[in-house]
Amino acid sequence: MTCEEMLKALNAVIDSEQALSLYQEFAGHLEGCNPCQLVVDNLRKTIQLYQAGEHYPMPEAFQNRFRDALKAKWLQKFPHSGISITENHPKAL
Amino acid sequence: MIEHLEDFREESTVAAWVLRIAANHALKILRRERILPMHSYAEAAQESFASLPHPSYIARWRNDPADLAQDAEVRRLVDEALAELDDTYRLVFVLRDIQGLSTEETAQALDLTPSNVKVRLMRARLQLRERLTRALGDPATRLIPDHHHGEDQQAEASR
Repeated sequence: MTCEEMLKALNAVIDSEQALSLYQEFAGHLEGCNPCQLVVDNLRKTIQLYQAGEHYPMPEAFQNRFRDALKAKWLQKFPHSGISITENHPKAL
Repeated sequence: MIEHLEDFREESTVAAWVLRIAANHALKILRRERILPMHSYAEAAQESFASLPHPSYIARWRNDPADLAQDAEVRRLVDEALAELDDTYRLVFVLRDIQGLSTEETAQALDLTPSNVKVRLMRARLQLRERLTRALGDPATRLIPDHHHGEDQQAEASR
């Protein structure tokens, strides 16, 4: 595997969605290629940094109105579903 | 979301379905306000992994992402880097890596093929990596990439 081929396979390896054979090839390349090792590490950290970002909670009053409206509509659509959207446990979500 | 409840077919998770509605709604508003072009983000042609930008600045980061995320200056940098991405890449990155949608769910939300989602995601990740590593990497650990590494062994193996 070359650096160029590794670049094209990066997504698959970072997202862990490829077959073992590709990992073996990938690991073989990484073992002898410090720049590629760092690129993979950089990419993982880039994603982690964005995932660690701030979340902006919805205002409580909006959450309450939204939950009530959703509950009413849900029960209208699935009257016999047995699924309920309760105050503290929005199971349907 | 309530308006669309009738359309929910339980083919995807509720979270993915909600995000898809939100993404479509946001895109519609941005196009109406002419903040974004009117055309869809659907691909004109199949994109490929050919000519991906090669990583240029390669260095170990000075801190862990969890620590960096607490720093207001870093958060500003992270937001700026994301804002600088082309819309076509940013949308895919936000839905896949931040909101956690699968490749298929992202493709459905943006009217793309799964293959194009993967290409755009890779381009987004590489651009963000480059920008952030230039700011957060330790220059003392910088490595110079060898784009031809592995070619000798491959040529040897094919003989």
